This record gives sequence, C-alpha cells and structure tokens, in this order.
Amino acid sequence: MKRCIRTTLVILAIFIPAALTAAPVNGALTLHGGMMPSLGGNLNSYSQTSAPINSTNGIDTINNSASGFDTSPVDRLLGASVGITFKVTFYDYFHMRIGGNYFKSVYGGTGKTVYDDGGDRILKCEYAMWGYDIPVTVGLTIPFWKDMKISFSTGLAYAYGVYTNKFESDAPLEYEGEFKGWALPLVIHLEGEYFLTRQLALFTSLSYYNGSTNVLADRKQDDDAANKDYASIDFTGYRYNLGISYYFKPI
Amino acid sequence: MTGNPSMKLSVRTAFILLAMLLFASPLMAERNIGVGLHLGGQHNTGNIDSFYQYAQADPQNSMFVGISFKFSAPFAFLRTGVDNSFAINKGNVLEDQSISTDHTSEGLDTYQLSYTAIPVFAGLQFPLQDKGVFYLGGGIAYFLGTGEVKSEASGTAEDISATALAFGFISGMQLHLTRKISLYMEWEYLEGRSKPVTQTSAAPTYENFYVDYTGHRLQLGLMYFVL
Repeated sequence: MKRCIRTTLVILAIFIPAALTAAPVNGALTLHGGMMPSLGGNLNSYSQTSAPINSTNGIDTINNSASGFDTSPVDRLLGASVGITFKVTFYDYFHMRIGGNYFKSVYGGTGKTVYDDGGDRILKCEYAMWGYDIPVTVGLTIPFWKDMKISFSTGLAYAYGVYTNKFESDAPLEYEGEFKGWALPLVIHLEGEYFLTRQLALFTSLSYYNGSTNVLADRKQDDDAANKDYASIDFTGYRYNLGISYYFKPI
Repeated sequence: MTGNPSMKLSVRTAFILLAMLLFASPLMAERNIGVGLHLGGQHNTGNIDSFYQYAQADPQNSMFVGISFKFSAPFAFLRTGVDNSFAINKGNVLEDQSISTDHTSEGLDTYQLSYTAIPVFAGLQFPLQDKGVFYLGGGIAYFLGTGEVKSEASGTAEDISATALAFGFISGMQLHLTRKISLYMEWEYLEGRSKPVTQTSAAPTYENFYVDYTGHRLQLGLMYFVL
C-alpha cells in the first residue's frame, strides 16, 4: 500500500510539473488599492461589555446621547488597503493567485458618548486597527475574447491584525487595550480585468473574508490586572479594490 | 447689453471645438448616459441584530423604488440615483435577550423604518460584446430615514428620523434589449449607522437606539439610454 502511494506521488511529482511546463502558462502582477467598510466588525472587548460602560455590542452600542452632553457618534471603522497580487493562469481558464495586502483604518472610530457611573459622565472613545494579509486562492477564469477576463476564486488568507482601543473619562476611568493576533479567514474573490493592451489591464475586485482570531489578551504592558481587557480581532467583511495588472506574456 | 465681438467669437469657437470633441469622444458612442427605473427589496431593514445581538426578532422587510443615472465610458462607470423605501412588514422584537446589567427595562417592541438613499458608485465595467455589461464599483450613500419605534420603557410609539453616511459596493449586470433600452439587475451592499435617536431603556435615560442602514439590496429595473 505504502509503495503504491509512493509510486503514485513520484509519478505525479514528475508529470504535474511536466504538464504545467507544457501547458500555456501566463503570469500577471497586479497593484491595487481599495476600501474595507466596517473594518474589524463591532470591535467588541470585555472592558466595553462590563460595568460601567455596559456596551453589549462594542462600537455599535457604545453610542448614547443625553441633553446637556456634548456627544459625537463613534462610527465603525472604514479601512483603506494597498496590495500586490501575483497570478498564474493555466490553459487560459484556471488560475492561482497569491497576494499581500496592507490595511489601516482611515475613518471612524473616535467620538464621545455618555455613560452612567452613578452619575452621567462623558466617555471619550478611540478605536483603530491595522494589519496585513496574504491570501492564496485558486479558481476559474472566463476570458472574453482579447478584451477582458472575469475570474472567481476561493481560498484562505493568513491575516495579521493589531486592534487598539482607548476609553477615557473624568471619573476618572481609563481603559487602553492593544490586541495582536493572526487568523486564517476564508476568502471568496471575484475580479474583472479590462485589457488596454495585450499585456496591460485595468483591474477591479470584490473579496469577502470570513474569520477572526481566538480571544486575545490585552498587550498593553502598563495595565494592571483590573484593567486587563480581552477581545478577538475580526477580519470578516467585504473589500473592494481597483488597480492595474501587467501580464508577462501577451494574452 | 453688448459684448466684445472678439470675445463672442472666442466663446463660439470654444463651443464648436467642445462639441466636435464630444462627438469625436467615446461619450457619444451608444449607451453612455442612461436613466433607469428600478424596483428592489431588502431583508432585515434596520439590521436589528447589530443592536440586539442575541435577539429573537421577526425583522422588517422593505421594498423600494428608485431612479438611477449611469454614466459610462468604455471601461468605467459612475452610477448615482435616488431610492425610496417602504416597509412591507413591521419589525417585531419578540425577545431582546439583552445582557446589559444596569439597563433595568431595556427593550424594543416594534419598529418600522423607511428611507431615502442617495448612492454614488464608481468602478469598472465590462462590456460583453453587444449583449450586455457587467460592472463592479465602490462608493458611498447618504441616507435620510424616518420611522416609528415602540419600546417597553415608554409603551408608546415614537416617531424618529435619522441620517447616516454609508460605505459599500455595487455589482450589476445589464442585458441590452434594444439599442436604447436595457434590463438591469444590481446587488448593493452598504454599511452605515446613524447617531442615537431614541431611548429604549427606563434607566439610564439615554438615547441609545440608532438606525442601522447596513444591508444587502437587490434591484431589478429598466434603463433608457439618452446617449
């Protein structure tokens, strides 16, 4: 049995690269930038759900307002991303892609709310997130003449994120958290390329990531045990990208 | 009022040149400026799960009618318009399962929202010979909503209004029926929440309930191409 498996693997190891070498293979490099609505999801953490803040769903339910208090809404994070992707196509219809993306929150995450600490108090809130991911997907491509390609692929990404939050009031109250971690979110990816020349194409894509880290402990060194916070980093969400692709061989 | 003759000539020449450029440009090709009328639907309007994560709810469903304006170059597009939503059914929170510790009587009974959305999307489009177009773009939308919520705390229905800015994307396809008319189908996803607009708890007496416009919208319509 073992010998049979070994023989099969040896045959595959010889013939697959040989077949790929003989196959019409093309490579493409894409530079892209985009947006990520709701980066990090609701950014919930233990310190927000517990008293006195008592926000059940993180950033979503942290907003309170009351007359006589100068509050401003804390919006979910909007992320911006830049990235590079290398794609190999086989026989025009099959492809594998590997990329690298850097993302960072650029909008939302700051504001003031009011909370009950025996009396009404203003709470200043700050949320931020950045990270990078390396998606690897395989899928199908439909070329439409020499004008365009539409591709669909699925796979996994290695995603690393750093999420920080800070809550401050004159109670005095101060929670400051920093969470670092990685996950392997599932990736669904749809992309389109419009060829300006036989090697250069405009690129657009829509990706959906689904996955989050385990629950992570607050990494802030100056926190005492009472201020220790816990959260997971959520990479789930949609990403829209625009960019430009260069094919190594004319299509 | 009389103008300088040479000035008038320059303006006229500029207009003629502009008109010639416009005619020569791809903007004058077919199906570059379209006006559409569509009908759409949304499930879980108000995205009640974001406020009550563990709620047992019968969420609101909505339909909407909208006008869209689409400006297309050979490979790019700009899509805007106005959508008006109407509730098909009221949202009903059967059990909010709130885990908050100091909100003594938190709870929302029913809610009903309607809104006007003004989205602007831009992106790339992929013409499929003369059969149709596939397009994908990102953008923003401004929401103006009104509604009615009934909470356990007050026991009475209260009118609310809320605005919000949302971010998202659009993916759509047009099927050309004639040289001037296309059938289109679109999927929009937008993320946006308002500031708190009303209170749902007896104590503390804060406005805490916000209108969440986040959601998927599907729409089907007909587009007439002016140019």
